[in-house]
Amino acid sequence: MSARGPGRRSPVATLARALTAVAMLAATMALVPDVAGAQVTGGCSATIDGQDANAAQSVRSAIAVDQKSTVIVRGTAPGPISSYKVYLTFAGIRFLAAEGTPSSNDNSYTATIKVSDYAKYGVGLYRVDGETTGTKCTGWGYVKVTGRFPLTTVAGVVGSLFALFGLLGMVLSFPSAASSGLEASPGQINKGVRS
Amino acid sequence: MSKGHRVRGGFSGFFFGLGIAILLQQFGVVALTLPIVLALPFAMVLVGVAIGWPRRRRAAPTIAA
Repeated sequence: MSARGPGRRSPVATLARALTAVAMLAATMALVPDVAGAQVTGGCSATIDGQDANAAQSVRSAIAVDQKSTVIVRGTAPGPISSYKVYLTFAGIRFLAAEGTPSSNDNSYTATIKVSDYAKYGVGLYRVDGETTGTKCTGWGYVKVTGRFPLTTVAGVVGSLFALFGLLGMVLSFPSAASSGLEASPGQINKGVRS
Repeated sequence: MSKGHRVRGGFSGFFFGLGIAILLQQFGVVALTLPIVLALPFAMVLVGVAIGWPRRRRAAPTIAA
């Protein structure tokens, strides 16, 4: 007969349930379209690598770029632009990728981003934001950096180590069998014999 | 009550969640936005604390005389 009572779950079963819940959460996040945030607004338009940024605002429609390529971001506003900035967003933090000032009375800008400057740190999905001043415009789209195995990047290695040691720590957090009440003290046994 | 490891479980869960979030971004499954960076590790902290929570001791076995 098993040492475990009918109401007890094994640690492995509990961990399996927890991991299933995480997988379901991740799948849900992947399925929910990301529609939050500003899109190209107010007569403005933007392209990333020649493709409309407005059409690349979900994970599935992200613009694929190779890690060795150079991406050209173009923006057009209904009026003159005094300056522009292009950001890459990772983990909610915006990194300035390009900025500049178009020639006077110009209502468009072109920014060039060398993907390899960023691909050494990580590949995968990134949000690219463009902003202009003068005539205020904002626009964004997702790019998917490909061409490198994710686990060979800095972010991939860090993520793997976090996940591995985190999982190990969680497994070690299970109350040990020796202290989980499976053993009985001599006093308890004697009490059981007398009754 | 058995001795639990809630703190260890919580910390481990946080790093596990963060690692999974980074890996999901790297493999192009999700974009690593602030809600995902916060939600997944936080959810795993709860799972880790639950795993490390002390279990109730079972009743001692009774030996029939």
